[in-house]
Amino acid sequence: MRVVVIGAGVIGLSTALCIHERFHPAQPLHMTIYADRFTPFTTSDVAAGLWQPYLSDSSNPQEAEWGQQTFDYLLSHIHSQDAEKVGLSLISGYNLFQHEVPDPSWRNTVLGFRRLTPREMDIFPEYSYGWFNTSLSLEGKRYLPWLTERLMERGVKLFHRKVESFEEVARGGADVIINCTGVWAGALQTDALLQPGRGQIIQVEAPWMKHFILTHDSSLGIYNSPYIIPGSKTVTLGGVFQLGNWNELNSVHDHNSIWKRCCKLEPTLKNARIVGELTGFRPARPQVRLEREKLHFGSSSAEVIHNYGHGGYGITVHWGCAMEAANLFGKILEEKKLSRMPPAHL
Amino acid sequence: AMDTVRIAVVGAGVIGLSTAVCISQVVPGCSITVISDKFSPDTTSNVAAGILIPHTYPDTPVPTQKQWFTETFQHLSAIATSAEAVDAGVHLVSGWQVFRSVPTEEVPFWADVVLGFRKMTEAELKRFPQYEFGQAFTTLKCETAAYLPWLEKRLKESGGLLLTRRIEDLWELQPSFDIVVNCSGLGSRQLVGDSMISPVRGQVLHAQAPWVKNFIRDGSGLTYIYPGTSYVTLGGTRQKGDWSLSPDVELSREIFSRCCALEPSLHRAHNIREKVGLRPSRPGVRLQKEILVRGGQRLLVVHNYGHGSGGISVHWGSALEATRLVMDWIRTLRIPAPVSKL
Repeated sequence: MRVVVIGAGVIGLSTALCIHERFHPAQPLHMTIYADRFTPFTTSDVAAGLWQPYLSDSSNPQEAEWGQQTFDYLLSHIHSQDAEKVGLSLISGYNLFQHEVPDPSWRNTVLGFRRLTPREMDIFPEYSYGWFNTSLSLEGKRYLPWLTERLMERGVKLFHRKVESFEEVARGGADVIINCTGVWAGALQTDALLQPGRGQIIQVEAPWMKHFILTHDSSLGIYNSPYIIPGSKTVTLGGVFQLGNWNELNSVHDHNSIWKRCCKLEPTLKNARIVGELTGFRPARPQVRLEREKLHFGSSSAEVIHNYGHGGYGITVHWGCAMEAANLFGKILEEKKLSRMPPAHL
Repeated sequence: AMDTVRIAVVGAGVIGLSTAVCISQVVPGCSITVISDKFSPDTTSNVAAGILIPHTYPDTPVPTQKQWFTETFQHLSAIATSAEAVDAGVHLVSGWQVFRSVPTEEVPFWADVVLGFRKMTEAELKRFPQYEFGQAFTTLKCETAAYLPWLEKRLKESGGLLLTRRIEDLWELQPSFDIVVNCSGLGSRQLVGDSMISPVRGQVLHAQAPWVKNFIRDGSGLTYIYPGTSYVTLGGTRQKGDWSLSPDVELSREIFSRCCALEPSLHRAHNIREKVGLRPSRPGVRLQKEILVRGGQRLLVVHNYGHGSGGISVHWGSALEATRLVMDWIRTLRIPAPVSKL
C-alpha cells in the first residue's frame, strides 16, 4: 500500500510515525513524506512547545481527549534517558488573569494544578487571579529531527517537494494521502474555515527564568497578551495572534509591543540578550479537521485523511490526533480488505 | 562631636558581606572594613547552590530560625522582583521535596514562608516510584557567584573597604577598630577557639543540563538537583569532620548516579565539574556579643557564625540580629565614662 504524507511539521511527522509504527510491516506500507518546508523552517519550529490547550473548550469534545492523550503519552516518556534528545522536559509556571475565571477542563491533566496564593499574586501586580501548574515542554527544533530520524530508520522517505494538488499525488500512485499541510491546506482544497493566526516571537537568553508565564486578556483573545516561555536554551517572548495576517516578515511594531509588554510583566528581561525573532502562522480553525475524504480523479480515486487546523495547540494535541488518524487509516485498510474478498460462492 | 565608629567584619562569605551591608544601611556614622583571607569566588558560600530551604539547628529555637528565614525570604523576594534581580543572582524556582517514607513532620515550620506549599499529588509522586510522600513549593535561589560580588559592590558604594588579609588573632584588630564582627565561619574554630564548630564536607557537581527547570530534593537532604542560571547543582554529601577540599572521584560518580535516579534525563548532562565546600557546622548559630579582655584592653565582638547548611537561607535574618548587637555595643561606646566628682 502506498501512503503519501503531505507536510513535515509536528502533525505530518508524528502522524506518519504513528501510522507506520502501528501497521507496518504486518500491513506492508510504502510511505513517503512530501513537504516544501522541513525543520527548522516549519510552523512547529516557531512554537515555544508548551503543552497547554486554549482556556475554553473547543466545539469538538474530542480535542480535549486528544490533548489528554498527548500529555499522558509525553509524560510516560519523561523519564526516558532520551527525553532531552527528543526536546521533552517538565516546566512549571503561571497563568495570569485580570479577574477570577473557572478552572480549565485540563486542570487534572497537568500536574499539581492549583490557584495562586495572594503572596504569589503580589509578584504580578497587573493581575488579580491566576493558576500554577507543572506542564510539559516539547521543542519542535529537537522533536522534529528526532521524529525524522525514527521515520528514516523505518525506511520512510522524505522529499522536498511542493505538492500542487491531491490529484498529482494520486496519479503518482498513492493509495492513501495524509493531508498535514497546516495553514496552507487551502492551497490544496478550499477551506473557508481555515485562516492564518499570525504569531511573532522574540527569542532571548534569560537562563535565570525557570517558569512559564502566560497572561490572558479576554478582550484581546488568546495569545494576544504577553507570554514568556523558557526553553532548553532560549526563552520565547510572545503575545501576538493576528487572524488573517499572511505577512511572514517580522514586524517592528509587533517586536516593540511584545518587548515592552513582556518587560513590564517580567522586569528582569531588560538584562536578556535578544538572539532571534520569528514569525509563524498558527493554522487557526474553529476546530481541527481530522476526517476522511474519498477523492475521485477520472477513473482513479484516493483516500485522503485530513489532519490540519490545530491553531495554537498543535503540539498539545498532536499525538492524540496522530492516533485518531491511524484509526481512520485502519478503517481504510479494513474496507480495502473487505473489498478484496472473493464474492461468496453459493 | 561623635567619632565615627570603626567596625571590622572578619569574613567575606555570605554572612560577612551581608552583615557588613546591613550595618552600613542601618547604622549611621560608622566605617566598615571587611577583612578576609578569601573573597568570592573562593569562599565556602560560593560552593553552595543557594536554594532557600532552611536547615534545622538543634540548639537554636525554632521561632528564631523561622524569623531569620522569613526575613531572608522577604528580603530576597524584594530583590527577585526588582530590576536588580539578575545582577544580584536571585530568582524564583519551583520543585519537589520527596520522602521515601512519610516524615513525622509533614508540614515544616517554613511551609508558610515559601510560596504555594502543598503536598504532592499522586500523579506527581508517580514520577518517583521509590518515594511515598512529597511536598511541592516555590522558593528562591540566591546564587552566590553573583550575590557576593553584588554585596561587595553595594558595600563599596556606601564607603566600605574590602581587605584581603588573613587574621590569626582578633587582637590584631586592636586598636584600629572599635567593634569586631566575627563572621569567619569554620575559621572560628581556630580564630576564637570554638571547638563546637566543625566541618561537614559537601561535594557537589556543577553540570550543564539547561532543560531541567524544577528542583528535586530528597527529604534526607543528601540528594538534590538545583537548576541555576549557569548550571545545575547536583549533590551531595554530608561528611562530618572531614576537612578535605579535594574532590573524590568515586563520590562524584555516586552523586551523579543518585541524581540520575531522581531525574534520568541528567544522563545527558555534560561539562560536569566537581566542587567541595566545608559547611561551618555547629549545633546552633553563634550570634552573640562578647567582650574580650587582655591587659587593660577590651575588644567588643559580635559573633555571627556557625550556619552549617543553612547560611544562605537565614543570612539576612542573622545579619539583622548581628546589626542590632552592633548597635548595642555602639550605645555602650557612646555612654560617656562617668567622671568622679571630688
